[in-house]
Amino acid sequence: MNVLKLSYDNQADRLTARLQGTRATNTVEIRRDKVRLTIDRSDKQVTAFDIEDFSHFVSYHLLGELFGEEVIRGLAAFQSAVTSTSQRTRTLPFAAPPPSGRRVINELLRAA
Amino acid sequence: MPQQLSVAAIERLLDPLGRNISFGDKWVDRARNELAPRFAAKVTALSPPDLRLLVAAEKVRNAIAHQSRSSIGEMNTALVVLDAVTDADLIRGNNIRPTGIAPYLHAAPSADRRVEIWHRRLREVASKLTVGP
Repeated sequence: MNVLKLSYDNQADRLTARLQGTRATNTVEIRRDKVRLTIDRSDKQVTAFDIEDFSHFVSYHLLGELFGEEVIRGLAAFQSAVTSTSQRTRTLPFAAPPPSGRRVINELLRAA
Repeated sequence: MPQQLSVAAIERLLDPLGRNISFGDKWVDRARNELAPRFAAKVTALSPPDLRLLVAAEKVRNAIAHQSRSSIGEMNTALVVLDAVTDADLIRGNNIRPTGIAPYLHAAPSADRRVEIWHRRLREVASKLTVGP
């Protein structure tokens, strides 16, 4: 089971997500619009990501390809929660990234 | 300028290059940059569930119009991140294929068909965008 740790900075309106249990060694940061991905080149894995302007974020498709529906459902629920409650952190367990994830990571690394 | 502008006139004013006007991912940014503050404030004040609903409406429209693999994929993503409380009846179950769009819209998960629920919710959001004189 993988776990994403989510935290929301209300002042900056920024979501930060970190994949638990990953070591950041050979990483590269790639920005796609409001999403900044940290990708481990060796493991071909997204180890973290930030989302700017999170309260207005709607571009879930890339994250869906990388992490799967379970994660984007959880992110959307967290987005609703942080704008209507005082909740600022959440852990998001998920089974496994979808098969499309590796392909998308390769494309992102090639374009970087 | 006439009091009631036609859709074609509005599109020419807003999008002189002839591209499709998108209410999607860039809408809030464009509102901030291009609208007067009192109009932009209405857009930025929309809740995440409302914004995700509007994006999903656009993605459903695109999937119907284009039926491409990418448009279908984006529609399926948009329909899964709808708010689980406000828009529970609009969230899809299994992946929707091109031939499944009409059955999805005409299905009645509760008392009303989804297409009627969509209509009601879009009217609600539109009413939040009204600016007084």
